[in-house]
Amino acid sequence: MSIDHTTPPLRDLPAGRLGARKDHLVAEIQRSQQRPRFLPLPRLVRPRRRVAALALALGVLLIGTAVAATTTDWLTGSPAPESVVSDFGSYAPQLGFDPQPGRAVLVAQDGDISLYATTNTQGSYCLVASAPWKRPSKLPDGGTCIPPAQAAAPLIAGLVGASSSPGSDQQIYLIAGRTADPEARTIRFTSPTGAPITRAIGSSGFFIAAVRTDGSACSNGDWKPRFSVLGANGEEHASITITLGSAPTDSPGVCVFAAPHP
Amino acid sequence: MLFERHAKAIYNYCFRRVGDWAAAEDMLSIVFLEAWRRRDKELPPDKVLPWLYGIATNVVRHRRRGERRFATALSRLPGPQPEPGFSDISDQRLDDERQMRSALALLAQLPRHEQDVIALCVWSEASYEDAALALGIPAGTVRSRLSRARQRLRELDAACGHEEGRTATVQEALEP
Repeated sequence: MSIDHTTPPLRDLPAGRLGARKDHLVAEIQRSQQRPRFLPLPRLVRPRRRVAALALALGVLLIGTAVAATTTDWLTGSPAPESVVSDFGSYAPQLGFDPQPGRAVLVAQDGDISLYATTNTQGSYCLVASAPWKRPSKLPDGGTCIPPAQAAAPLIAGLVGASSSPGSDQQIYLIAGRTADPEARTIRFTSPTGAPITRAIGSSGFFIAAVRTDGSACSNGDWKPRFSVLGANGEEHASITITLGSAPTDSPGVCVFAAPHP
Repeated sequence: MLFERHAKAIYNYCFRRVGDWAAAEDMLSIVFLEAWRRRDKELPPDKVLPWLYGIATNVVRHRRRGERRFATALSRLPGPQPEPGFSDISDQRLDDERQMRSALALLAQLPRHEQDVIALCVWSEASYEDAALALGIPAGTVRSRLSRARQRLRELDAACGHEEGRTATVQEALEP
């Protein structure tokens, strides 16, 4: 049985359903456009209560601003280009995160590879990698968002992009992550073949490394390097093993990667 | 209108990913509501369908989450009206669903990223470039994933020794 010939023929929606779906879509769009941005205060509210409500709203606003400032001040870097901002803006909300594209900044570089980060309303952050084969303007993908529990870990790392060289077995893996150690200056780990990789920590503790391999990253089993966080004088601050790629026992040659995680 | 132009393609793509016509219809709505939300995206006209395929792939992948998110909007949809010749249509669609479930069971043995390229390049006949745009990966990666997926399917096919005679469809079973 060939997978090419297993699908039923293309079918239209059942009679009347296309129109119903279209009407529904139009109604939902109109509904979203008509939704008021601010709820007006009821006209019968007494002036004193109105003042109290306004004061309360102002207080909430001030506290909210202060909290937002303290929770997003940690992310610094040079402003991201418009293509990256737009890329964060295209993040699929079904994935459970709402990146804040306007806060996107460049946080780490490795040659012509760049890592951009932005905060999200869930209290963590999202990443977009830019590479010659994958500029956000060329192949937008919305990026990768890190769940708050994982973002709180002292060190996370994982895959944020990959490419293969046409006509050869060479693969390029973009490994990115972040350390919460403010004194960290360098990150060190090993390639699938055990070769040492050292990269400078960029802004806000982020790092990125383009790792080139001949063939699968899991040809020697799981790619599970030890990450060392080094200080200004090369002293080791922390050392954690993170599985970047795992080789399922029932699928030889296959390598399953994960986004940045502890 | 974008919806009228691409609804059939997206409806069938969603069906081929989940094997359920009713779910595919809801997913069609979710895809276009999501496309509306991202309407600021600037795309050449010939890249709109691949872009919609990309949204649909995400919607399929996170089906439960999408259904929860748009549950209120979907609840406002009027129910289906009775159709003429309803049983014939139902039988065809039941056959489709059974056929598709068996194809999806085979496809489920592949990694998810290879399932995506099979669904786009083989079942929806998208070009490598369009599939690349939909999935946000380079066209070369689409090509290599497709090649690996086909190879793996051939091996699975050989290992399972797929049946020579297929099961009768509902339509055939009902015929005198």
